[in-house]
Amino acid sequence: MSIDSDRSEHARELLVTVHNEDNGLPVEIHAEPESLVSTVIAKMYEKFNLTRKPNDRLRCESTGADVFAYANDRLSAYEHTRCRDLVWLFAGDQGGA
Amino acid sequence: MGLPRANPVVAMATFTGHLDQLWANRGLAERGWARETVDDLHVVVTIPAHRTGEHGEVTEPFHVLLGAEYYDLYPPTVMFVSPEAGWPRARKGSRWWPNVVGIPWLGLHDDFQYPDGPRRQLVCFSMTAEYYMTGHNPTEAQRWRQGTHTVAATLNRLADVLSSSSYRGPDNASHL
Repeated sequence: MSIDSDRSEHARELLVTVHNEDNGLPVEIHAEPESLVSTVIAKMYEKFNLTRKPNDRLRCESTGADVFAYANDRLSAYEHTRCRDLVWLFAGDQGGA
Repeated sequence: MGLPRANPVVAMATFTGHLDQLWANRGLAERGWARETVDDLHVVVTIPAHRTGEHGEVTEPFHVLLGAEYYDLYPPTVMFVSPEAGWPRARKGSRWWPNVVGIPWLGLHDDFQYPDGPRRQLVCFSMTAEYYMTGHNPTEAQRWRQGTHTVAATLNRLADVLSSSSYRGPDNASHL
């Protein structure tokens, strides 16, 4: 694949950036606009080398809204209506007082 | 429970590397955070707290003294401090103690009786070393795990609380 066609391939994709709040490291996920949010979530867990746990939190940075709640949305629609900058914050569970 | 002390040189190098990563990746300086190295094992981090006051958005800094004594097999030690010489511990009822309510996983104790030492502050959640010194039993998912968690886990959770609706302002303001 040439550089130009590779650039063209990414140009059609949306970029989701996820900051792992447990270790301070971000990952970037490119996804087709018509892919489901759940697909991006799955890629996120793969990149973090983690399996989903019941009390994991994933939220849109700009709104604070829970990303899991929109797992069945198309990414393009989710970007337009729920989280325009597509920057997410992930955190696992923590124990309390 | 006494925790095993880490090699101080290794611990501080690891801690500083993790803190540097977080600082750069999240642009914390641009977001109003600050940091000051206190000694070979301690750093003070200033976290801006955000709330909506009577006249609009309010930002109020809080200072936490972080220690790498047990890092990173265990989390950093954490203490809210006052911006005076020597960074003394912040006391409940003062400007430098945050008034936080209704967070089930966080306990802020001004003067806690530790099992093996004098009474002192306890910032109680599973991303502080003191949590493991005071007889808590986290689940596997809640427990600090070397290689999975860094000081980012500690600071991000504190920042999250200090910008949530559970944060009611500096504790001295609650008496007005």
